[in-house]
Amino acid sequence: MKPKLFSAGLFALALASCKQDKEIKVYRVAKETPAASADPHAGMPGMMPGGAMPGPVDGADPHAGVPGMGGGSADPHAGLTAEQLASAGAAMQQSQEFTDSPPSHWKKLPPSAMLLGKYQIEGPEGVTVDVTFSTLRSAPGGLLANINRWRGQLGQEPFADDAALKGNTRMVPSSFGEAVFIDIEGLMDSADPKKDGRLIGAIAESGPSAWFFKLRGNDALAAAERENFIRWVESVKLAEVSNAPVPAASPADAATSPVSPAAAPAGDGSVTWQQPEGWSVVNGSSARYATLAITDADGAKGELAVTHFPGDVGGDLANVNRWRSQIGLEPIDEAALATSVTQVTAGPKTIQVIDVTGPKNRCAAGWVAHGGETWFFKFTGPDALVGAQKAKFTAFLESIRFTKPD
Amino acid sequence: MKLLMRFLRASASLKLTIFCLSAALVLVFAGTLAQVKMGLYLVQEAYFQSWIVWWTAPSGNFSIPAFPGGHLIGALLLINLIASLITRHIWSWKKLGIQLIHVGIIIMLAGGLATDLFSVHSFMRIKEGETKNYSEDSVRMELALIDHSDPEAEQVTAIAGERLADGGTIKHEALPFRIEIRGFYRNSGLQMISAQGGAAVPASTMGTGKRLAVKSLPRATRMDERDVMSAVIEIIPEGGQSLGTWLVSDSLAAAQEIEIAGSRWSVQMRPARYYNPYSLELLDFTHETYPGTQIPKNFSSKLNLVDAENNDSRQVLIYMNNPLRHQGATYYQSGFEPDNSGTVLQVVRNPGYQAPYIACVIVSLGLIYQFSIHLIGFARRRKTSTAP
Repeated sequence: MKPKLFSAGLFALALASCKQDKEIKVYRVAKETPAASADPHAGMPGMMPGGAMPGPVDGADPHAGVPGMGGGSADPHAGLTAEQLASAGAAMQQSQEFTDSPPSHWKKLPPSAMLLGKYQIEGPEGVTVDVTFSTLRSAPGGLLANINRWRGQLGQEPFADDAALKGNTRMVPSSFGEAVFIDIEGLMDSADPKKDGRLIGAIAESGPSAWFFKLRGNDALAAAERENFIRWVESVKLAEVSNAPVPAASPADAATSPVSPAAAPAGDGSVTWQQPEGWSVVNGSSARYATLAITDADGAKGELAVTHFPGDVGGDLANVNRWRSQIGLEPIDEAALATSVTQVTAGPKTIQVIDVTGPKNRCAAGWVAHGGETWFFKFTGPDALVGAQKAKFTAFLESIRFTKPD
Repeated sequence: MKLLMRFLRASASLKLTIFCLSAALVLVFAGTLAQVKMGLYLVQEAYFQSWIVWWTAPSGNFSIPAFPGGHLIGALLLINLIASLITRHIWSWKKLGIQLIHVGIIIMLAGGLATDLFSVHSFMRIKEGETKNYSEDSVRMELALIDHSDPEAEQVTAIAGERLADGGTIKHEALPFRIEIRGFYRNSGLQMISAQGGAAVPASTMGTGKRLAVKSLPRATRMDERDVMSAVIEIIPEGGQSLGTWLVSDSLAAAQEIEIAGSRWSVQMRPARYYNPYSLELLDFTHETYPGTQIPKNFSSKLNLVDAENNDSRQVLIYMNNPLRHQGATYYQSGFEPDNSGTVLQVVRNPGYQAPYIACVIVSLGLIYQFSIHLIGFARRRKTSTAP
């Protein structure tokens, strides 16, 4: 009888597990406070460590539509009642307040349904551009789907894969971490060229949430506002941060993980910069604040490492001689150092810069003290590549800003 | 009795043991390769948490059994071991060690099966100063129908998401209406319907879905994605006419309110919740990094545990490798809010979690006993042979 009993037990186990999957439970709970129920979905960190990108529910997008159906500029949410808004905007976090620094000529509009923020820019002869800020979470699709949806709204062919996406986007800093930045030109037959023709957007992922920054409107006016838009994206900060969790890696994991928590260009937001055109943020060492990479037309690769350490890390001479030794050069003395260092002004800060070329590689590095630490920005690569990118590296150093007090 | 012994002897076959171990080897290898295309979670379901691994034709029209699944292999091995224990090894002091080793492995296998079938993983997110008494599943969804007519409490009828997949009609004594499943999407995408119209069809006639189109998407396979379950439900009060259809989706974070027979209800697709008879209040969350780097050094959550039923109220500190165990649940430090304002705890309820410890102790005792017997025997023989 034992085997029969045993088999019966096994089937009972199996049935019990199936039943558990399909059961209907009834229970009573105390009424939830709005704060407790505001975000019933907030992320499943175990499932979404990288953050499932919100997908096609682009309710936040005033130009949202079915890709390929035309990029109507009417707000699909216009006219929603407060009650509808409360439910239709469910995919959003309506209650979040944010601060930003828009250019003075951007006209603030009341945020419509599903939009956290909205601006309009007016140009000559009635041309306009809309700027919006919104968030979504917990939807599939991913970055590629969202960018392709935007392309579809301007009648552009979708990118075939992530490689095509990567080749046509770059990263810009935001308070939510690095944001994928894209500039799309195109005009649907039915669209009004005064109000459409270019879409400049940035998408930042944070936990399971994604933050959408979008500038869309007249081609020329949108192009003229491009740099303002990038600066504005960087300035947007939530007063009440998303409930989305960031999965915590164990110290052991962090030491070996290829994806560093510091890989984002903005890291913890201590420092921001304008990312040079054609450069991209890569997953570097976890000991770094950020790593940027550049590959030139010949396939030569260069790398810009951003690090920071307490104190002066042995002093300028020791640091410069360490870099020199890394590229096969002999050490120099204080006198030689004094003649080889130049300065770059970055807002209120002055960054010390050296540029040395060894037998194989060239190293252009900047360093600056801030908040009891020394920040290093070291650009290394073949001589030709570093030389060709030197102007961009200098511009990068000039754009560096520290967000925390000295 | 003869039949039973025949069955036991057949089940105790060493060939069956070899088959099971070989099949497990192949299954693990195939399952590992399959993760490239299917992702971890689907492979776990299809290969290891199944009785049969099915092969589906490229056309998708039919499936045939291709290989024994993890549950079947484990169960066969379990039967094999038990039968072997009963029939092969005569109960004697001399073979007690071998018996113990078998018992230990049986406990290990049974514990593994119990873990697979009954363990529940969920997450509890708490902000500083907030108190929670429930955690949320990371995979399973539920359709929550909440009756707000009682000013003191809410009555929740939670229908498991898997039940919605069966379609048809759902009736329950707690519901004064029936639900017809008009559409089910295990993974879905929602899209706003342009105000200018178009080919997109509204997902439902009522609620949020009036402005949304829903489409089915392939199952999520990447580790950083999960399925977004959606369904279109029709609500028909008892003895009344249909109130229309509603779209419920994991993408829609807020509940939709419905007036049914004078009572206010809300419907919501949400991660399945597990309520506890105790609560946890987050007093403080700490996130330390190594100086000068972003490398995490330590995370810890200081919590206030209040268990009124057991008159147990105390402060607890959860950090890496130091979980809280309370009433069958283990709370691990898992994550945190981006601004460090709150913590994310992984909650594991695993009735079989002690099985590996018990099994290891028993197997160790068995090995020590058996080797000791051999050692003692060897020593005696040696002493006898060297005696003058």
